[in-house]
Parts: sequence; C-alpha cells; structure tokens
Amino acid sequence: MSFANMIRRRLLFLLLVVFGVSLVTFVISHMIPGNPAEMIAGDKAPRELVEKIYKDMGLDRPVLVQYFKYISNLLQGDLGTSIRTQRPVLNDILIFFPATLELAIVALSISIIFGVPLGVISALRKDKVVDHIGHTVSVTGISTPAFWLGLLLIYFFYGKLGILPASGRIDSSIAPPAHVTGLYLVDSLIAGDWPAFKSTVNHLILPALTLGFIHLGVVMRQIRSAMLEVLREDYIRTARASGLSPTRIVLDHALRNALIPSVTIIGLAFGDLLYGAVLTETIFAWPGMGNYVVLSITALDFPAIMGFTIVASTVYVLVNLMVDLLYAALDPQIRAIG
Amino acid sequence: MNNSVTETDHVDWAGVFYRIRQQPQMIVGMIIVALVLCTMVFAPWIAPYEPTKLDILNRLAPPSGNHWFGTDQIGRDIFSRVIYGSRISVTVGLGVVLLAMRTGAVIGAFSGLAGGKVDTAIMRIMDVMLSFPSFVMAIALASALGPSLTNAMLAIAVLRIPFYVRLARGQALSLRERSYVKAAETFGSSRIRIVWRHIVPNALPPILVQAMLDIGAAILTASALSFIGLGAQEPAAEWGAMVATGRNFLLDQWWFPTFPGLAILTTAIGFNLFGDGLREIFDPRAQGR
Amino acid sequence: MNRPVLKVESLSLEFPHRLGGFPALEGVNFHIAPGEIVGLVGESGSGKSVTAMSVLRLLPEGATHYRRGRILVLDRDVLTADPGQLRRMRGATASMIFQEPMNALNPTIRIGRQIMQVIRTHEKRVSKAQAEVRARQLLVEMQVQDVDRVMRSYPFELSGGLRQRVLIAMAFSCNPSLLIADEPTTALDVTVQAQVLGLLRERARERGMSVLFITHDLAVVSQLCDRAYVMYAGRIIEQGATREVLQKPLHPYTRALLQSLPEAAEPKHYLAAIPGTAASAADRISGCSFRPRCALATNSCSQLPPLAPSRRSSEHEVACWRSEDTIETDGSVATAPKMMAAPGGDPHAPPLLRLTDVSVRFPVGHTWLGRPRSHVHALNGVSLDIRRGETLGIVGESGCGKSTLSQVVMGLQPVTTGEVMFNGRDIFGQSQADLKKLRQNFQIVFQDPQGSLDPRMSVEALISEPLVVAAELSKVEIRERVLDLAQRVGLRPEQLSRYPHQFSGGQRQRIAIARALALQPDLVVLDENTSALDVSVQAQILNLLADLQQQMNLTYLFISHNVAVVRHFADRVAVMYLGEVVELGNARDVLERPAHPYTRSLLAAVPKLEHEAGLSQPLRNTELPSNRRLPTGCFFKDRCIHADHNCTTRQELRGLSDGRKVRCVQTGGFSLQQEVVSA
Repeated sequence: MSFANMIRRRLLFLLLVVFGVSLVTFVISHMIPGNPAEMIAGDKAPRELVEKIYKDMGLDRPVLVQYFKYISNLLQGDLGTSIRTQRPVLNDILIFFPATLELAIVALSISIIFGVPLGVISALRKDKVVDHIGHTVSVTGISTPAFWLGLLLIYFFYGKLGILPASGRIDSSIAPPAHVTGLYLVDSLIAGDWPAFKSTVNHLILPALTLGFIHLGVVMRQIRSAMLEVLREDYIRTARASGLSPTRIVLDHALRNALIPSVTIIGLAFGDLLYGAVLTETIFAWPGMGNYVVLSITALDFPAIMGFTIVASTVYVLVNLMVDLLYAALDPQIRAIG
Repeated sequence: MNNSVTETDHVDWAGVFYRIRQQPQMIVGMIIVALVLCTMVFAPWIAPYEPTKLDILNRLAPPSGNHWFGTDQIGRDIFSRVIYGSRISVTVGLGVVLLAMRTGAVIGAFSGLAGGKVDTAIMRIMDVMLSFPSFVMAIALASALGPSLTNAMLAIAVLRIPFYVRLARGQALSLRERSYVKAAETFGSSRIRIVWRHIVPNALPPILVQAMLDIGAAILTASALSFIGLGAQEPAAEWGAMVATGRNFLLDQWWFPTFPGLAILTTAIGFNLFGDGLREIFDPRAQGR
Repeated sequence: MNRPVLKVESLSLEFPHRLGGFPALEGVNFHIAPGEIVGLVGESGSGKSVTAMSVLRLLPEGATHYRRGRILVLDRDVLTADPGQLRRMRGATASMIFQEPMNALNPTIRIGRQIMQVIRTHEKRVSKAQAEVRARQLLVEMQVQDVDRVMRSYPFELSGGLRQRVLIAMAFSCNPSLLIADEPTTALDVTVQAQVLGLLRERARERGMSVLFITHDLAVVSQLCDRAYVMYAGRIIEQGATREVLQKPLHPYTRALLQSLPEAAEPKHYLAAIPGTAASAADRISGCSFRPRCALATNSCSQLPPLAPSRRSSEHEVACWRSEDTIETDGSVATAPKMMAAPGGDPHAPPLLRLTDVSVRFPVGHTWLGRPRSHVHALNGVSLDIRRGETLGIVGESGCGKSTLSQVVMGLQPVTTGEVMFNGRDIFGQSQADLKKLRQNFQIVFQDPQGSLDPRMSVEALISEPLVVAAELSKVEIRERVLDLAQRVGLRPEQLSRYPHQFSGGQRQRIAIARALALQPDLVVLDENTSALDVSVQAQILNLLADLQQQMNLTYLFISHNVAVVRHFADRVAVMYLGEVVELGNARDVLERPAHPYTRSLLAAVPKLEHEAGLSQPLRNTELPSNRRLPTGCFFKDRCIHADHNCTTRQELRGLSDGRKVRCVQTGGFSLQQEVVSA
C-alpha cells in the first residue's frame, strides 16, 4: 500500500466517521423528549407559531426524508441554528474554535515537554524511587478531575495570591489583537502588541496548566511503558556491546523506537484533551467550544450540542489522520510497505 | 540464557505476592479501594448526619469538630454527603465497567471467532465508534437521554464498549492461533468446548485487568458529567455535582468544592493504582526472566 | 606462550532472587591466546551464555552478583573497570555478536549509520566520510553483494543471514582483539550457517583475532575451533584441543553427549541417551554435578573433582575422578546400541495417507476492493504417499513448506488444489462430524510443547482431554488409559496432577506425545518436536518414539530441519525446497548419496564431527527466492552450480534406478556412487 493510498483510506474513513456521528446525532435529536418546535418558539408562544415552526423544520415529513435533508444540510456546512444565540451553529463554533485550539496546543506542549523526559527517566530508573514518584505523578494526573484542579488553582493563584487572572482570554481593559489566526498568542506577536501578548500569557497559564497536567499523566505512562519495552530489545544489547554511550543509546536508539507507538497513543489521547477542554473552559470562562457546549446544555440547545459533536468528531479524526502521517514518517517499515 | 522454568502463561502465585510486595503503590491502591468499599457499605454508620438533613441556621460553616468538612449553602453536612457520595460514584464506576465489559467481550469474542464478513463489519463499526471523541459523545448522548445519573452511566458505558470489543477480539484471535487450541481441534473438540475450555479462561485475565483500570476513568467521567449538570441531580449527594454547586462559593468557602473533589481524586487514584499494579503483575512481558 | 587476550579466573556469579540467589557460574577458569578460536560448549543451563555475557559485563547490573574471580581482557579486569573504561573496551577491544540476528539491529536506523556510529564512537578523529568508506569496506569483506543498497537499507529489508553479516561487520569495525560469538548461527538455516561460519573463521584468521565461540553444537565446534571448553552446570569440566576433546573425550559427560548424537549411532539404532535432564548451577548439586546422571559415579564423586591435566596429555584437562577408568574401558559408558524396530512400510500395500498434487496459497495484503495483493505459495504440487508402519521424514530449510505440509495432513489447513486421502477417504471432502471422527486416526505433536499444552490444565486433564471429547469411555476407563499412557511415555503417576510449567522441555514433550496417542491413532505427525531440546534429551525422546512406534503400530510423518536426526530416524525421506518435493527415497540413499543439487548443498553445509575443514558451500546465490514470486522453470536454478539452459522448464519428479525420485533434469549426469558428503 502506498503512502497516497493510506491517506486516501484515512480520508474515506473520516467520511465514514462523520457519517456515523451524524447518524448518531440525528437519532439523538429524535430521541429528545418534547417538541423541538416548542422549545424554539419559547414557552408562551401561540399554538399557530409552534405549528408553523414545526412545519418549517420539516418535522411532519417521514424520518428518512428528514435524515436526508439533515445530511444534505450538513454537507453544505449547515449545522442548524442555535436556539440560545439565534445564530447558525457553524458561525458560533468558528468564533469559539480558535480559543480552544490555542488552549489545547499550549496544554499539549506542556504535557509533552514535561511528560516525555519524565517518562524516559522513570523507565531508566524502573522500580527505583524516581520511578515510584513518577508513577505517582502520572497516576495523579490521570485521576484528577480537571474541573476541580482548575478550581484549586483559581483559589490559590487568583483568590489567595492574586497574581493570575481567573477567567477569560485577555484583560477586559485590553483590546484583543487584530484577527489573523484567531490565536491571541500568535496574533498579538504579529501585531507587535506586547501588552496583549502578556495578558494572553497570563490568562493562559492556569487553564493550560490544568489541562496539561491531566494529559501529562497519559504521556508519561505511555512513554515509560514504551521505553521499558524497547530497552528489552536485542538491538539495545547490541548497542551496549558496541560501547555506545548511554546518552546515545537512550536518546538515539531507544527513544526513537519508543516514540513510534507513543505517537498513536498520545494522538488517541487527544480525545481526553477535548474532554478536559470542555471542563477547563467552563471553570475558567474560557470563550471556547467547550464553554459554548456547556452553556448550550444548560439551555437545552440541541442544534448547538449536536453541531458541536459533529465538529469535534471531525477535528478529532483529522488529528488522528495527522498522527498516522507522523507515524508513517517515523517508522521506515510503514513508509516502505505503507 | 539459563533455562530455568519461565512462566509466561501460568500464574505463579508466590511470584504474584512477591511482585505485589515490590509495588508499594499497588498496596496503597488496594488500601484506598478497600477503604472506599467499606465507606460505601457502612455509610449510614460512618456519616454523622443524614446527607439531606438541612440546617439553614448553620449554613456554609467552616470545617469544625461538628462538621469535619464544613456545611454547604443550605446547611447540609459536607462530610456526610461525601461519605454517601461513595455509594453513587462506586456504583456508577462498577456499573459502567460491568456493562461495557460484558457487552464488549461477548461481541468481540463472537467477532473474532466468527471471522470473515461478520468480523469485518463489526470491526468497522467499532473503528468508527472508537473515533468518536468519547466525552463529547457522552455529552451528546446524556443530554439527549435527559439529565440523570442512569443516563450518564449508560452514555459512558456505550462509548466504552468498542475498547472491550477490540481487546476481546484480539485475545480470541491470538488464542485461536495457539498450538494448544489447534491441538484441541485435532482430537475433535467441538467449537463450543474449545471456546469455553481453552479460549475464555485464557482470554479473561487481560480483559479483567483492563476493566479494573477503567473503573477510575468511569468514576471521573461520571463526576464530570454531573459537574456540567448531565448526571446526578440535586439533592443527590454526588461528588461532581457537589463541586459544581460549591464552585460558586470557592473564594470564601474553599472547603465546599474542595472536599468532594478530593474524594473523587482519591477514589480514582485508588482504582488506577490498583489496576496499574494488576497489569504489571499479569503482563506476560513483565513476568518471566 | 603469548599473554592471553582473555583470561577468566575462578569466576563465580549468581542472580539474586527472592528465594535467595541462583548461582549460574562456579569457579570458571579459561583463557584465549592471541589468534586462537576457542569453543565453549554446553547444553541449556550450563552457563555458557552467562559466561559470554559477563566478559563484557552485559548482564543486567542490578540483577547480577559477581561473587568471585577476575575477567582479564588484555590484562585489564573487566569487573573493576569503571563505566567509561568499560565502554571504551566494548566494541573496540572486544566485541560481541548474538544469537538472534532478526532483532539485533535497530529497526529505525539505516545499516550504514549503525556501522559508522560504532566506528566513530571509538575513533573520534575519523570523519563521517572516512567512516563510510570503512563501513563499505567491511561489508565487502563480509561478501555482501550490493553494498550500496545495504548501506541505505533498514534492517527489515534484509534477510537473517545478511543481517548477521552486517552484525559481524559491526563487530569487526574497530579491529578488536577479541570477538565473542554467542550461538551466532543457531537461528539460521544450515546453508546460511555454513556461509556465515566460514566467513567468520576466515576473517578472524586474517586479522589474527581471537574468538570465543559459544555453542551447543559439537559439530560446529569441530569445524571452527582450535580448542574447546566443555561446560556443565556452571563449571568447566573438560578442556583441550578440539580434536582431542571430540575424538578422545575424557569426561563421562562429554563422552555421553557425543554418543547421544544421532550421527554417533547407526541409523535406526537406539541412541545412547543420558538419563535425566541437564543440570544447572542453580540445582546446587554437591560434588561432581554430573554425578546423578553418570553411569560411572561412585562415592568418591561426592567430592568436587578439580580440572586437572589428564594422564595422557598435560594440554588436555578434565574434572573427573573416574576419567582415567573410562579410558581403560574405552568408552562403553552407555549400553551397546540396539537396532530399533525393523523398518516398516510395504511399498505395495495401499498407502495410509496419500497427497496428490497438493498446493496451498495464502493471500497477502488487500487492495482497495478487498482482493489479495499477492500470494505466498507455501506448497506447490506436492504428491506423497505415507506407507502404513513407516517413518517418512520431511527435511528442508525455513520457507520450504514443511510446516504447512503438516497442517495440511492434519486437516488444519485447507488445500488450494489437490487432495489428501486418509485410508482412501478424502479428508477435505468430509462433513464436520465425519472429519471429527476421522481425525481421531491421525494426531500431531507440535514443535513447541509449552505452547501446545493449555497452561491452565493439569497433566491428567491434558492427556485425558481427547478421551473426554471422544466420549466413548467411562471415567474409570479414562483414568486407566491415562495411567497407561503416562507409564508408556515415562511419566510417574504422581506427576499427573501437576501443570505444564512445572516440567522441563523434554517432559513436556512426553506429555504432548501421551496426549497424541490417547486415541490410539494410526498416524502421528511429529513437527520439529525435538528441535528445541538438548541433544541428550533429544536422544531420549527419539528412543521413546521408536519404542512407541513398535508397541502401538504407529506411522510417523517426521518433520525436521535437522538432517542428522532425519537420517537417523526416518525410513524414507522427502527433501523439500520452496514448497516442492525435490528428492524422495530411502533415508540412507538420499541423505548419504544425494542426487538433487539442492540436497547435495544442504548436506555439504551440515557441520560434521569428523571433518575439520568441511565448511563447503556449493551455492551460486545465497538468497532464497521469495515464495511470493516463484521462479520460472526449476525453482533451484538461480542458486544451482550445475544449472544450464535445460533448467528453464519446470521439472518433474523422475524415478532413478535405485527407486528414488528426483526433480532435476541434470541428475543423470551425476554419479550416484560418488560420496558427495565428503566432497
């Protein structure tokens, strides 16, 4: 199988997943107790209005027809209209997406920058004190409720010490940088807007730490077990018998091979990152997709919830596609056979 | 190397106990799990107050001899509520895992042993399900089913199924190729006998270990759903929901969200450490030598 | 004498364990002179690999306790060296190659870089370009064809033999004084082994390099080594010039080991097996550790015998109180060999099993539409008769299809074309229920006894399982039958309640045999079932199989890569190559006077005890063709030294005057009388 072939397969799979998600969300929307038209019209709306909306939404048509309509709307990028904001869901999500992306990237970087070395050290010192501490840290990371950790951080750094802000992406007194990428860190640098950059960093620290710590556990655990496996391999023995230095053996021979399986696992754990993001954003009033969806849940805004689900799943699959490409780039065997 | 007996398949119990002693974290995990289970069973005897008993005059009281963890916004004893909360969380955790494991293992084993088109079809569906970001889908499912603890549990369980399907299928496939299964075939054992006698007993341990590891995650996810209002509802003493309410009192009444959250953390750590330890012990690659 | 390159002095080491330390070596002494090739021979548990690993201190540091002794490499003690000194020593002063070439190279680094890395680690002033030149040179020296491609390759793109050559090149790259080779060819096919061994010896001799060669294979020692040390249970028990040790052994163990080789006995005669299993130092036997298995043991043997020069020669040392006696009686340590049961198999009676033109193809990979991308051609038109009461041997190297053949015979692997008739009934044309019944008449003993025994079942449950499944006997009858089977294969009744992991490899093989015989089958397929065993235990199992064949009127299909074992044990033999039978006939005819060029090169490559320089390798092309894209014409023509234009058409199996069949158009040109083995 060639490289291009693999990408083709993954894209086909992506379609399949989006189709699956749309099916599920469609079924879910039809499971909702009560009449969606009533919800849209509001409590005190007259009967005629409800019926008109009901007809407009096509809810009197056969289910299959409704599904095809739903799909064709989806394909045109129409995710429906939010009941809460009265705007097209896609518009809403596009507004909120960059904030989530920024948070996720920073958190992922934190978890990898700290997680990979810590995982390697744990593996090298297996069953020693360092390893036990490392294990405790990673299990704690995996076991911590993100929403609670966020609250603790707010309590200390905002409530007690007053050195970091507790909510939002940027001080309300500072204008956000001009929109280029939507990522404030990047945009403020492009604009050369130093105060905006500083404020963005300050606002990012707590949510990114929260999310990064949760993910750190996953990264450490995976790197540790992959390293342990690789260190048992015959080629490590060959390297030792050839007199290569320990640094070279660990970094060049072992880590290279340990990263290959880890890329996939860490990629899959990106789902956890999304999960963490929903909760973290809520706690820090971070204007991202997670916050949006929680507010939608509170308002029983189903079009928004389902739209979010479809977008999040698509992003997730796209990320996994990139992970696969990275995997292939790292592993010569995959590159050759595909 | 020196060829003393290397056990990869059979469990060497003396070795297991030795390895448990080698893993202080696992013992910590076991103790936590045992404590949580005791708390759950003996909640009425441990808790000093009824979890729903109001004491409006004594609302938002800080931790004291009377109220170890303080009281909440309508004067309920937080310690008692945390104690009773173990019942909900552990039930949810176990319930999710049992449901997902049983369903998943049956589907997976069936798929692996059936092979062919059936297998391909099932596995494609599972691949698609695995590509759903599970928490997001749980939100969607739980909100559609309506906010309640049972629905949250169902939503989480359904999304865990594919993991077990994969695991069980993988086990079934690799065991089917073992020569002892082939040997059984050569002397005419029936399929059913091969499955029950040779495949199920040998496939079970890794699946159970995975289930153990999942309990912690299930408890966390359930509490997260409750936190965003999709799980347990007032006045149920659920840890995630308690943190959610307590959040509004964070800066002045820190104890309110802190203790329920600590309970979630501790329980999850307990189950995760225990599960990690089990995996380490039963992993054939970690054994031997 | 020159100062030794390696000198190991009274080395004792143990592996700490929760039960209090497993000793692995007890006072090991040996040395290697410059330019000398020294063999270290022993069975499993003897401590030979541990010794090899300890020379470069490669055993896991935390889990190894060096109790006593010194290891001097060029007068520097390895055991007191600091990590930096140790690193400079490894690869530069002494280097090492290992048994498994498949995983010994890093899968994600190109071959060229791996070799250059070693050079540049030890010689800091060598530039990248210089290192590359040297790496290429080394590969050329190792007779690697297509050096450019190999330099750029990743390990998975190379065959096992090629990988081992790359590893040898790496080991030679810094011109070390000592090379330690730990069973470097055990995982390789015999033709590849011959090439690699020849190369190793030649290159080491050219450079005056000393070699410590660890092996379980006495024949390899005889071909390669100047001197040999024999190890047993963590001690050296005999030492001397190879010729002395192998032809006039002094220690009862060495003698017994040599006599238990299938080469040592007449074909179809009982082998002089050593009772029991090889001991290890961890067994902590007081006095001479061979005592429990030794026919000559007396009370004096409870004292530990020192390794001392023999009366015959000061260069030939032995650790035995009784060795001088054994010389007097000239070696009749074991009982005189008896003839096994008379060869069975009436050529005129209808065959028990007949394979007609059987082919098996496996699909590989999938295209977009789910069609297979290519096929592995595992079997290509195999026709064979197995006669009632005979032992038909199947011999061939990896990839020849012999394992697929066993699966086909057992009805486990459906054929793509052709038919398999058992007693006149097509086994693939049966209903499930009939096949189940029919199957009770043929059973298999797998290669890996541990894998073929469900770890969760007791021995009694294992042996009785076929009987329970057949459901024709009462519980009492089953119990009786199990006891009878256990006794026949040499298991004690009290062992029946134990579990497979509590047994040694040989005993597990006995359990598997008992189970295969439970339903009193006619045909038993023996798939490489002695290849994982020590020589002394292999002899026990072969003897046992011969007895059982006679007692129970069994027919054997005996599959093995080991030519010597097949020659000894089989009545007739089929030689397989790339899924074809290339030669078929009486075992003695075919394996002593081979006709097919492939059989000839196979036999020439087998190391022999008697010849010291017999590593001939008459093959044109070393690499086995892929069984995904079969060659046209004769499958062997690209590697055959006799191939010409006649070989471009597909060959048929043709009968020769002595009754054998050969798939070669050239065969008429060879003299069958010529003893090719000694060529």
